Amino acid sequence: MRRTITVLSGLLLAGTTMLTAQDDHDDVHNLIIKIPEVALLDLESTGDKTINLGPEGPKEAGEALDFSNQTNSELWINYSSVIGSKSEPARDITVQITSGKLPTGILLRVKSAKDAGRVMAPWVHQTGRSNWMRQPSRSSVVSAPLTPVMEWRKDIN
Amino acid sequence: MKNINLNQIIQIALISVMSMMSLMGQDNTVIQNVVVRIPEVALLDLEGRSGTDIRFTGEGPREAGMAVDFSNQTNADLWINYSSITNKKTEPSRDITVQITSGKVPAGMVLEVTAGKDAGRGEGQVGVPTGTISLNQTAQSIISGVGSAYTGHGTTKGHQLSYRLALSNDKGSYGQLDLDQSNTVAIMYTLTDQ
Repeated sequence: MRRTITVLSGLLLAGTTMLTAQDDHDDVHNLIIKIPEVALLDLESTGDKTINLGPEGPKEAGEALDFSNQTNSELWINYSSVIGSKSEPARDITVQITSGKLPTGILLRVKSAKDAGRVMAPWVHQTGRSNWMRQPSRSSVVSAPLTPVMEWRKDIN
Repeated sequence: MKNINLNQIIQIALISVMSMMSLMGQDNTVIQNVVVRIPEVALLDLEGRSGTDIRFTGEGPREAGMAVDFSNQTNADLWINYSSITNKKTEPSRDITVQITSGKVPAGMVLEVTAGKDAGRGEGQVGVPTGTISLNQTAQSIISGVGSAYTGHGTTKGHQLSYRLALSNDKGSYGQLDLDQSNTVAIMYTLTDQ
């Protein structure tokens, strides 16, 4: 009796296996799409990235140092960014001095222009003449020029 | 008793003769009905050398300012095999449709598939590819005019499938890229009645 049950169970199992292995009129496959996270930033210049700023000394006694030409627009920020709407919906680009010190009485300001538009997502929001630039809320590839300005701080003279 | 026996003998003889005559008058052909039944067949299978999963990963740039590169996101590993027997009156030909049944193509991107011509390893009225399909949740015909045919079983048999993942040509597509929309898309092929 036990032998009969074993044989029957075997046949049933074989039948089930054959049924599952059978093809039918459709089939499905998976396709996995992965978008990479990207956060790259670079400063670009046609020449050296070092900027030299220094006021011109007066030629006439009694005149002040001339800061009026102490500007530079040779550097550009390039960046590539792919964000995640849930994990990281937006990024900022920040700027800070990491070594050295501004001479007392001197102000150094930098302004980022609008993105040059040679990109696929040109919506960049700037904060004006401030020390940071808000990055777009979506993924983008951007180039924006930087214009540092060196000035005399009139408030502390 | 003797008479009865004689009568019986005569009766038996007569019956025997009549039986023989009856046998001689019989037709020597026999009609045997043979029912020929051709089964309806509609089987479809996807074949790949190592499973049927496909992976597409956009390559991130190495230089700031460069875009994610999707140019190499192509795949031609899968083949459609099918066996089909159609009915000329009720079902003269069939289509093969394709659709996304779960998951979603990320915003700003397009997922395309093209079926190649039948590799010629089977026979019959094989289907004709309809061209490049941009995949979505709606069933679209990728192969049409499948009649009674078989393609052969396995890779390099039937129709080769060429997939391509690319950035959409629509304006602002790059800005829609969202790494959180990385996901698995299930793609279904169906041999269907026309």
